[in-house]
Amino acid sequence: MFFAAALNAQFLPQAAPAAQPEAAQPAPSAKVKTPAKAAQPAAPVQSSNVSVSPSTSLDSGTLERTQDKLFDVESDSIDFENGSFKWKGRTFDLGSSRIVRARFERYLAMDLSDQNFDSYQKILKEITASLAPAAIDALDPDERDAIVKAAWSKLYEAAEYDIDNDGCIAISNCVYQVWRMASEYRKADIREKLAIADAKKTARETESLERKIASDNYMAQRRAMESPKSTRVVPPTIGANQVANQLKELAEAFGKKSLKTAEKTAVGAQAILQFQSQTMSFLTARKFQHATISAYFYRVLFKGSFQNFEVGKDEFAKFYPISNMLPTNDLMESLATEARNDVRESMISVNSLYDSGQRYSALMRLMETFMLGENEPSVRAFDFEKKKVLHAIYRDVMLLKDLADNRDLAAIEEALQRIGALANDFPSHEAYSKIRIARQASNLKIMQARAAAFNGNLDDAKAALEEAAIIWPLNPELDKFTDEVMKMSVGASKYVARFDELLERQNYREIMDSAAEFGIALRDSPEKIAKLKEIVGNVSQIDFLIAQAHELNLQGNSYVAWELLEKARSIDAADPILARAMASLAPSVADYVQILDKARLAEKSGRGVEALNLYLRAQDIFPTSQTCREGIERMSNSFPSFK
Amino acid sequence: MKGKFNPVIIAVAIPVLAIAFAIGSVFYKRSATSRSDAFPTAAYVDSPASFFGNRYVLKAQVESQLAYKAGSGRLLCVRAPDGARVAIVVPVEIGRNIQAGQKYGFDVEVMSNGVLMVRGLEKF
Repeated sequence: MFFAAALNAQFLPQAAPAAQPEAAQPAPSAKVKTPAKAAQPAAPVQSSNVSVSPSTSLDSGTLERTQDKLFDVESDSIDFENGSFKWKGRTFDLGSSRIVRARFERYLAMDLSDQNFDSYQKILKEITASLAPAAIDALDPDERDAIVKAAWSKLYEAAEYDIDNDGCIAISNCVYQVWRMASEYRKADIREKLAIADAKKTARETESLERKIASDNYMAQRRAMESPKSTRVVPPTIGANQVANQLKELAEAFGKKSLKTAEKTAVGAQAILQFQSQTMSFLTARKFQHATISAYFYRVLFKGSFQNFEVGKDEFAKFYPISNMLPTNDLMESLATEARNDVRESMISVNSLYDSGQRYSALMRLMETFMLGENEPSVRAFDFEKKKVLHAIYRDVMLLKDLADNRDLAAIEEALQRIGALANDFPSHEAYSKIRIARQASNLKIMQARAAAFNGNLDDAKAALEEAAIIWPLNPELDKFTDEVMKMSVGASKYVARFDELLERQNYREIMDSAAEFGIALRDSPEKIAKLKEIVGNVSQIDFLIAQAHELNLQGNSYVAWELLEKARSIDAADPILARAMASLAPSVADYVQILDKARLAEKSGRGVEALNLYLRAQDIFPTSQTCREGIERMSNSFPSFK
Repeated sequence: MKGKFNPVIIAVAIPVLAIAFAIGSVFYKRSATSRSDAFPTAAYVDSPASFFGNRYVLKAQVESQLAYKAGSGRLLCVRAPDGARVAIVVPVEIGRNIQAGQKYGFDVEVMSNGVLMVRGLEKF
């Protein structure tokens, strides 16, 4: 389990520290001078409302900075859990992690080399250059209109390219809508003015009528007062209905005027809102080039008092949560330009890393860059051959996760080798260590199971076997052990007979190989179990001495190595592996061995004097020889004349 | 006639004879060791019994005492001038204080079982 967790933590792109995107290094973007940047329209960012410090731009031009970015965990990040990409405090909604990965894989697998990026980019650059504030603000209204119309018509040329994805068509529709609305606005304006004139006329007529009625009433009252026969006040009755009718007309006139005013306002607001929505939509969809062009058109088409965005305030708050800034057209344009610069510089970093062989880092950088600018031409124009290589690395890295989950150590090792062949910067050392540790741990558990089985403790054997399977389920030793257990179930008597046969032939090695099975089969025979233990102990000791001798021989201590083999021979002179080891080492110590053999022969033949002198001679070759020292002591104590 | 025995002559003759005897003894001894052959160390180590009956002078340096048995003698390991080491038996009759590092000319005889038995030794 620990192994899977370690691998998961290391190799999953979303979890690896290296998966952190470009660090927000305090690297002045002015240091990066690329041809693409030079071709940008002049001074696209003018808003004083936007605080987009150039010091936060990415500078991917040097390997050193790229390495710093690799380990800067405080920088921009991809959150696959929430399906969002956070870039300099702005959060883009990418969709679910599965869809994002699928899209990235599709991008890696897609050959876009048949797209004419250069021509497409040329058109878009012409549009942005012609609409750039520095270029267009100096023109008179007629010239400006002509420029805007020319730029508008180029939008249709750009829309013919598949790579455009109808972004330019959407902008051109917005522009056309503005023009259409402008025409309607003018008509509504005329209607409003006529309504105002009507209302004013009606008001004047009403006022005149009121004055006339007031005058008539006054005169009527006066005449009544002056008449001696009159005893009561005559109320003014003249023109009351007329006034009421006139007031009604006045109210209708003002109502009509208000309606026309509202109609005119609605016409203007509709075009503005539609345009603002489109720009905001481009930005949140990470179509930064289109967002820039849309903002350029908007600035030219609407005067300064309409530069604040009325739409998408909630969306903007989500997109830019750490800021309390109000969205403006300039801010949209600024953000889009900054993002495009980041994408372009990140792609320079990707190419640089790829060319230097650091393809794992290149893949990480490409993935982050893709999250931010998958629709940017510099990302889409990335060399397909390079994408194929990175795709292979990506597949293997993703495969590692599944393999780690399944603890398929052999397959993990193969995948690591494949990745290592393609990317020299892949951090595989720790993984290899984990694999070795897991293998050893599993094998040790199997050995423990064997030992338990050897002692007839089946419960412990089973527990150890289960632990071995948890650590490395596909351990081939498990199959071997299972086979052994299966064979044991065939019949213990068969193993007892086999043990006796091997013991008679002194084939201790074969007994050792099947010690676990014999341990179980012989558990009812204490004598044979004791013999089995003795054999296992002896063979293990011989193996240990052979291994030690091998190591010493590698270190140049051939005589000491031989001494150890001599010691092993004293345990079992007939051991075939020991014999091979001695035969292998003998040429290196031939002089010593030859004399020692003669000494032994002489000793065995009862020629003590000769044996003694030969041991002395052999000791001259290997002064610390234990064999010689013991031989000399033996011969001295039994020297003939001392009997 | 006066006595023919002259004591002066006798007094002179005795020391002269003693000196002559001493000189003769030395010369005799030297001639005896010089008669022995140099010891063939390498050949002896390979096959000691084949040198049975031979006597040699083995000039060697005492390296260590391999064994000692009261009443029997001591078994010494000596290093010959050619660098080889051999074991020799010094019988108790020789009765000398032999120590490691001392150099002797050993008068040795090869016994039937190949043992190098020291018959005499001379320090040099």
